[in-house]
Amino acid sequence: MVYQEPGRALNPTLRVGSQVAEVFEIHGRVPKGKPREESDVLLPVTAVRAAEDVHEVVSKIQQRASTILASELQLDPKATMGFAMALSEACQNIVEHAGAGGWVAVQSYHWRRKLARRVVVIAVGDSGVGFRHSLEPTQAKRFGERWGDAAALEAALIQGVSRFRDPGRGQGLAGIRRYLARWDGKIAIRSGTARIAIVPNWDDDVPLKEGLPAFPGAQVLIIIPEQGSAKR
Amino acid sequence: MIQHIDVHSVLQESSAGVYTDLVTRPTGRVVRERIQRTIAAGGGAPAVARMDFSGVGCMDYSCADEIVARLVREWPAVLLLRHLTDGHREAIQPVLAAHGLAVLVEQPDGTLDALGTPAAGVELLEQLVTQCLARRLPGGTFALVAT
Repeated sequence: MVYQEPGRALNPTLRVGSQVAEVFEIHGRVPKGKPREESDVLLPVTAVRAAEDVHEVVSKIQQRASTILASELQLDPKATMGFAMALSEACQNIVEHAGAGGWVAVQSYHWRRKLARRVVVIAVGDSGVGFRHSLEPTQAKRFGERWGDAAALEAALIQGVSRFRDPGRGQGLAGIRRYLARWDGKIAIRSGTARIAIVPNWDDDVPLKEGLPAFPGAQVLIIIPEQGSAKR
Repeated sequence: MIQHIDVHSVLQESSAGVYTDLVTRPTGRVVRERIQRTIAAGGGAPAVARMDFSGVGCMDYSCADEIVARLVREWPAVLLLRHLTDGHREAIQPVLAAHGLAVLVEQPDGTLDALGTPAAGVELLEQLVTQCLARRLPGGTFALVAT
């Protein structure tokens, strides 16, 4: 699915799921009657095209979300600061690598059945070149026959590789990983025909899926659960 | 000997007063270049560049790399950071550690601490002592001599 001007095509006052459901052609059995999870919009669907948009997003999330993250998800102040950093880095991937605009949304949900806890979800998507195309010039040779969407995602998320040769690059996803490891969070990235995830104990997702329908661009999903009483 | 840099002011000048957060590489690049110009205009290469982060909001890894790590890599001066928040530390520490680099942090009580790779931090502290810019305190801590 490629939104044309997502900032205008999507209504920020409605839940993303309800809008997406309208335009998806759904195959198979639709789980009607499943109760919708309660959600709070921390950041409505927001277009990201340039660095200025990332500044706007970070500024908004700090104003609106800090209290919710601390009070409802019981994240300590360190976690809320890391949250803005993770959000910034996820959005920057669009600006730095996608070659096209994208969008970001942040919502908190109460996952009563799956987790019996609240979670906050960052969703970032773009309709750009995707991970494989972005990394191909510098990484394809290293992977040889293994090179493809899955290998590109592995290189970016697991190995911290960037398309830039600058040794300081690749810090963004590595930082997001560290943050999520600390707060028991999850990240999943879908690009091309593959999807990779770093799966915490509370989730039953698979680390890598291949052979999926081709998706141009990339989708990044970051989930941080409500914290228990354990000190970190 | 010690050049003072108000990072928040540099950020404000770089963004026409719009931003208070050090996020994104383009922003980091502009801020770093302005800091480099400020230091060059101050008469060359100081032994210590003291960067004050008062008023700076969020800092992400990209900006930490673009500003702090690059300045350390490209500069002979010791970087001394002050008024860092925990969030700033979280961004800067792994970026420096990834390169085997370190900076010094001036604590509110005036003592010096290293941030980044521990061995590189120890070298910086010893360098300042050798240059008579810092001294050892009882208990093994360090403090600046000159301000």
